[in-house]
Amino acid sequence: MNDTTGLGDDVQLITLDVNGSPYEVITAPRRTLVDVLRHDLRLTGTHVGCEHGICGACTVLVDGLPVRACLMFAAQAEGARITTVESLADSRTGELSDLQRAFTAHHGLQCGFCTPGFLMLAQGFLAERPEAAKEEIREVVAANLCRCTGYQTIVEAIDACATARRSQRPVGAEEDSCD
Amino acid sequence: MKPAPFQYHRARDVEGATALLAELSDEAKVIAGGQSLVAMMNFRLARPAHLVDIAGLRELDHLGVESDGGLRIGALTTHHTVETAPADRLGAGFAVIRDAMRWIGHLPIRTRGTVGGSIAHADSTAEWCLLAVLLDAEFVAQSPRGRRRLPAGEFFFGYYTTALEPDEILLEIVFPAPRRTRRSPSSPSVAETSPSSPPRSIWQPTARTSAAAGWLWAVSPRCRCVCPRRRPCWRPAARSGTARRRLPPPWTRRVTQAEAATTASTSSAL
Repeated sequence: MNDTTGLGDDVQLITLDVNGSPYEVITAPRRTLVDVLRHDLRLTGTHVGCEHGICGACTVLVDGLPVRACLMFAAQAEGARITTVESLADSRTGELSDLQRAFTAHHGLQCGFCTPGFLMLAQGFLAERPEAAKEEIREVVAANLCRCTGYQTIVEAIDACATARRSQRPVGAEEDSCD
Repeated sequence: MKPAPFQYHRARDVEGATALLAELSDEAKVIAGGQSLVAMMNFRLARPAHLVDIAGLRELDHLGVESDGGLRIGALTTHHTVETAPADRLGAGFAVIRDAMRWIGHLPIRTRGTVGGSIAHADSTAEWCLLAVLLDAEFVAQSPRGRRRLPAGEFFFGYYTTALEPDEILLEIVFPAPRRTRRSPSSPSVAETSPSSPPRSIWQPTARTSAAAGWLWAVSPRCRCVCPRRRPCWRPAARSGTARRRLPPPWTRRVTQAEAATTASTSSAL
């Protein structure tokens, strides 16, 4: 633990379900979810940018829905199913998911700082709206900030992934190919 | 930045939460989705010593049409739930509510942010506050002294300031069945507009909407006003310096920094 863990604070034991694995963390209540993920669990794939919900770099899935991990205390996430960007690629082979490959193929990233947030935003959105049109994707992508790409390539990557998933299985199937 | 230290309490039921709030008084804040509060705490604009987390009170997460055609929305219902609600749960006359949801933040904000949190936070730019006032909603709140119903028109005092007591929790919002307005029978009420109507129809300055919009842009808390009306008054306090100035129409009025500072100093919600 370092200073920001808040050893002087009133610490609590919390149990988190992250990417299907249970974790027990002793932490101060003021620790946000993104800080616990990065500092305590060492899952540094989730990035932290503005810390007030604007940039979206910290986007993770909580019970399948995209949320800002900086606008949520870790204690609030107890009992919820948390999914981070580390869950996308195959943990044994390291093979990237179809969404990640689509980002690569369409040049959906340059510096890559915002990419984990965009990936999880797209992952949660497409799971709920697999039939999403490009206009919907464009509006959803406005939730996160990217200063490199101009968004066009990100929209194309997500649209290509959605199109490919639709062509692979009947519309309405709930199984998620990225898990 | 990181939030200041605080103690975290997770409520198991409404009674326990209100009892704890009564005990902690002004030192505690209720947290539900936290989409406004956590950002303010990260900036240390808010430094509550205690947080009472009511997000586990699932009985406050509901949405449905009553037999009289009214709409009841539990305080913990998220904006995203309302946005994606099927037509039979939302009712025929409330399409304007669903259509307004897309203007709240972005998808990751709407998945966490709650209806009750937005109303209790009382940001004057919030869609829910506007909808509640325009559609004559009522709020149900509970404290250790019992439950009470508050009309939206008497709930908001100004920026971030409401009629909620420190030990009170908002339970649900009740929208009455859509009807034609009393004051302007020739124009349809907002609730009756079709889903495809542009949102600007809300801003047509009928007598009804202008009064509501007047509240939303007004600075002066109504309790400082000598006006005898029971409903919130957008006029500034008679004793303040602004009273002598001729005011522009309330829905176009800009707030000066000095006025905002005055309001902030009188606000108790923060």
